[in-house]
Amino acid sequence: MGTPVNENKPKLGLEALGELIRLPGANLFLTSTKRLFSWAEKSSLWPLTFGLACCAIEMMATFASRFDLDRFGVVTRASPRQSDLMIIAGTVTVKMAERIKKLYDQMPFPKWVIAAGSCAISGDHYRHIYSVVPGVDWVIPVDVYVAGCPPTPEAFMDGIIQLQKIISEGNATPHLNVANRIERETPKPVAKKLVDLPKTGNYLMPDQLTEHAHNLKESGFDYISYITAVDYSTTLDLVYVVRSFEKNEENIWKVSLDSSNLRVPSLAPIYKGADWHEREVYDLFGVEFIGHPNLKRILLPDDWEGHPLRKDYSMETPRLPYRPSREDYEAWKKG
Amino acid sequence: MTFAESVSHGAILLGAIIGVVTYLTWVERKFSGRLQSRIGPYLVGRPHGWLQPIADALKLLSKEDITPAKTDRFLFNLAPIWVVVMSLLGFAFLPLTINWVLVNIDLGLLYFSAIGSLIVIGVFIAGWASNNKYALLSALRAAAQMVAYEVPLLLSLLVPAVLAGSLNFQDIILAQERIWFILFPVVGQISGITFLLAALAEGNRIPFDLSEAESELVAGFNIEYSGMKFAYFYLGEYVHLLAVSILVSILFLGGPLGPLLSGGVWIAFKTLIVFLIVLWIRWSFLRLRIDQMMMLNWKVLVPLTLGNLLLAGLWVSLSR
Repeated sequence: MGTPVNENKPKLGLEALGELIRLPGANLFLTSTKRLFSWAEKSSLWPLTFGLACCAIEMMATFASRFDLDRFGVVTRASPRQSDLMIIAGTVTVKMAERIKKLYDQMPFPKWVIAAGSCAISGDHYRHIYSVVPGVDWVIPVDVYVAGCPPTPEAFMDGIIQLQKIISEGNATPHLNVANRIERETPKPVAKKLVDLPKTGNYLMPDQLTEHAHNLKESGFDYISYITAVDYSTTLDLVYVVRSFEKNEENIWKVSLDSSNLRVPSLAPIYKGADWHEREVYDLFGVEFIGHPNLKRILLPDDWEGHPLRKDYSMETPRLPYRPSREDYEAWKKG
Repeated sequence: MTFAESVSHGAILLGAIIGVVTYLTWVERKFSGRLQSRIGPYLVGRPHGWLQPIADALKLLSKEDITPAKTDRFLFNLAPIWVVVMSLLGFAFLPLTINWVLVNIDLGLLYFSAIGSLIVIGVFIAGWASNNKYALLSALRAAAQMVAYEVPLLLSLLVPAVLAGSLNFQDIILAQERIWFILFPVVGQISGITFLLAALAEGNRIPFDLSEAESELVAGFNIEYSGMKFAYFYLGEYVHLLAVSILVSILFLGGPLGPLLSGGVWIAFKTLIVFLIVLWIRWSFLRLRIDQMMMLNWKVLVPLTLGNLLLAGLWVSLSR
């Protein structure tokens, strides 16, 4: 009875590099170039310093003192040109997916990808949302999936060890995950119920807005907390919240707009902070702010069609940035 | 030395430097691990990851070599070679024991500093040829920083030369037989500390690593370099750091001088101590802002070293 062998224990030392043959009078160490270089590749995995959401926090913890990925020879590099491994830690949005693809293309071969956490694997509970890619393998090929929401540092380490196994067995990228994914049906949106909410609160007419805000600013309400909107199908309410730190008071008012004419004067000349809030409302609800200095999309890509938080937004065809066909993929695999 | 002898000695020195520098990366990773209560490299070769530098080198050797389409091809490939060659050239003038030096010339100190300041040209070539905004910004920062810190570096470097009355490294070492220059009252300590600070800035190390500031410039001037070309920059940086550590031990700590053990052991020991101090600073301090760094240089270090040089001159002329 020997000691039980731990299958998951990483093998990175001389025993992974080659065989020691004991001959009478001399010892011989044998290895092959393939084995030598695959040993070097798996012993020196440098991930890109790159995190997307809460999984990245766990990833940072894995790099830090308690768990210490440097024991495996894993240290982060900031430039994709110098890294071998990309850890997708977090929810992949459509806007980010294009960047992920770009960063992946900038990495030199041989390169590997770990999808960490359920959002990176499948989109998880965000998969029906208009802006989320249901799994990063829509965009780039993935070698190892690490389960968890978010994965624990132990799971991260296990992912690294699994990747090292894959490298030493010589069957790393590319897999057919991307192609398999295409055959699955695209996620269907959950049907929304429209509820008529009673209108309460302090309503202003759109033409009173500028004067009202100006008076408030003069009287000490110098901080705009947020601007948001609620779509009631036929009408759309804008909600404004301003604060005064001096008086410790809050002032809330609403502006009701007809859905056929979503135009309202901008508060950006009065409150500097309104600039980005108004861009966000424009981006997601399509309200046009007259007099805004830079009315562009702020969260979604510039060429996005429609305004996703509107009730009439169609979610039948989720927009995905890059969808390789199986033929493309086979061609790429061959080189 | 005959031509064949100097070639073979040079080859031995080159191999030794590259071997030592490869393992200095391991020393740095282990040391930083201890400072952050981590373990550092451990599993790649037991005990304590002794195969780690070899794995890193082999991996970088086998990576794809990318030359981005819009770069200046010739300059892009020249820059890493330039940096490594200029870093290595400095070693030709450094005595490693009292009698063993590859090129023994009377202007050794001057030559060493002249060649050391050529490294910045390689960095600037890399930043310019990469055709990348981060690389260019980083190269501009590196150039401004290195040119500025050259002034206090040389002024503090001159103090041991003035005290020894020579620019020859061997004369400087022999002049420390009675007392190491770092123990020389006031003058020695000021020049030793300012030299170390200026050398850190010259080598782009924390707290002066503005040209590699990850939070601002992604990876600095070497952002577009992959595989072996990137390894060349890394090698150049560490060779320069090693040269600076040896220089500090020669100019201020008596170099190969010491009781009982041979000169080679003493200089290796002192160099390791200086190197660990540099690492200690790197892993304990934050990065300075660019204006703070320039202020430290022009408002503090330059007047200080200038006054210090004057003091050293006075001392020598009065005690004669």
